[in-house]
Amino acid sequence: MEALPHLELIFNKLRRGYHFTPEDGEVYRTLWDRFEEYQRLFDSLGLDLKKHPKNVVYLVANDNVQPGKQARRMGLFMLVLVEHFGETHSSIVSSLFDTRFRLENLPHLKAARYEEYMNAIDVHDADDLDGIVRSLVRFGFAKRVENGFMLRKAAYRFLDLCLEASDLAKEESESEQDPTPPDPPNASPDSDGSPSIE
Amino acid sequence: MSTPDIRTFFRLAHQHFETLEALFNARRGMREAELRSRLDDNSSHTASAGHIFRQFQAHRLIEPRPAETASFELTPPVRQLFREFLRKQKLSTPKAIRTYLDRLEELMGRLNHLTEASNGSGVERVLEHIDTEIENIRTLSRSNREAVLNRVTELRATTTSHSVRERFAIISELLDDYVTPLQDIVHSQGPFEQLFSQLRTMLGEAQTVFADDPSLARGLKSTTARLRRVRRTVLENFEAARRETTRLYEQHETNSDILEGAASLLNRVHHEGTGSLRLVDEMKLASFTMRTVFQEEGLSSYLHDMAGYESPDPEPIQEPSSSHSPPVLDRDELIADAHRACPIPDAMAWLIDVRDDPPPRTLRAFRYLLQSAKLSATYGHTRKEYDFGDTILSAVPVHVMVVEDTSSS
Repeated sequence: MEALPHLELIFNKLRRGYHFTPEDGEVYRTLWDRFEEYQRLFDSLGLDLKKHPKNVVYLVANDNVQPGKQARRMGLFMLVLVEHFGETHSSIVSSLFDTRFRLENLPHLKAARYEEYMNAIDVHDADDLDGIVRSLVRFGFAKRVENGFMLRKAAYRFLDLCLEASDLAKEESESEQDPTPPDPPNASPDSDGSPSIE
Repeated sequence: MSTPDIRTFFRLAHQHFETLEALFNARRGMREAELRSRLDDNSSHTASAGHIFRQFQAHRLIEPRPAETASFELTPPVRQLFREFLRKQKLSTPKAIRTYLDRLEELMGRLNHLTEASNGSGVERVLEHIDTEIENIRTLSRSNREAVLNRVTELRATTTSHSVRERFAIISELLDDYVTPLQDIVHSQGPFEQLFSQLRTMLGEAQTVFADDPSLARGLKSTTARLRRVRRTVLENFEAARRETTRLYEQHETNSDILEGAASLLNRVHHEGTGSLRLVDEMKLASFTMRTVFQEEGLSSYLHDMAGYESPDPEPIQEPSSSHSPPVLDRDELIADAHRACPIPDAMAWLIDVRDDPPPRTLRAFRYLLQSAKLSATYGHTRKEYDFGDTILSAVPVHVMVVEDTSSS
């Protein structure tokens, strides 16, 4: 079998959580065009290579090798950014990806409520925020630009989380409004009222 | 005060367009003093501002605002003209459209009554009213479409300062208050379609009744054609408004859902702490150290081979065949043979000599001889080698004899 191009580079970045997007040029194009071959190869190592609808390629971690704390820091950082944009911009999706962020202009430490969230993950000043931005860059969610950073398409994964949370909230709200009527007592001869799994 | 005159109306509108446009854009009308001042500034004509102001009123270009005598606004027809040309139509509520439909229904009743009474002149008069109402519906429908598209365009414009939440509320209201109720009216079973269908039938019946009156028949035919055109236009206008609004709604719904989702997760963090961000874990971000196996040529090629490797089909299981497998060793027959051959000075040598079995089978036979209750075994002292061809067995010779009791029995 012919060796796949850029394999070492791709593997080294993917295993560190990097998300490849069209901005990665030739390496991304190779990965995208020969995705199934890479996927098969990684699968033989027990690794799950995925494609995101927004043209992003990434590796899914096993449960025991996730960067839990780091992921949550990035997640919380992004949630604050999304909410802030929703309240101050006319559109979240386009604005988020078109904006050049400067650390000193980020809302995270400016509003008391956001600052509280940041303090909960040990973020107290601009340097700490920059640490999160470094993580975002390392994972391919952001890129450095002059005097700041911009989000890459891979950050759609955080927006997916928001949509998922919104769906959950809607479901919860619907189930509260329209609760399923309880079974009548003694509905079946062997019913003893204890919970059961069918 | 002079009598209203349409020529003067248009001449005044032409000469003082800027002032009238400013009045149109002033939501709360304009104070008389300000209006006169504008007329003074903008007028290149000899007539005094006071005279023009009075002409405005006389030719129904402006009128006092209700309960505000010192403030003026454009009269409704002039305001409507501005809206029409500046594409700033107001949204029509479904109630306004129903009013027109109710009026049309009433006229339809009259048409039916007059047709039954064969009252041609009465039908002619009512046709004129029906034409007017149908055209009113067409105008309303077109301006409503324009109004919806204006709203959509405004909301699309990035210059507006509404947040995602506000925008979604506006677009939802547009859908809920105007578009969806309109849909109820114009859909196939709705009052609009039903009424137009009934009216078309009634006009057809009237054409049959008044077939001998060419002028009236022409009028009925014309109204039928007008009805068809208006129906098509209304449906097209509605569909265009619905399509634009729905598309915008869907775009904003995604933004709104993202915002609601983020707010909901932050709210959870607020109450339960950062440990509640379980959804983030669902992203399953990879981060692990693994020796780069692709650097090692041997392992790399092995993995490549493994990635494309497909195991071959296993060989079919062979059915045991009696022709290939050796016969089962018959213990009783062996003992009987040995019994007849006794005394045997060297059991192993005897087995090799008389049976010519492979070593495992010979050893099993040897064991049967030693275990037999009918034979007694005496071990020698010096080891000896037994040659099986490709195997040499080393053992002490065993002398076998018949046990006395069994030989007699």
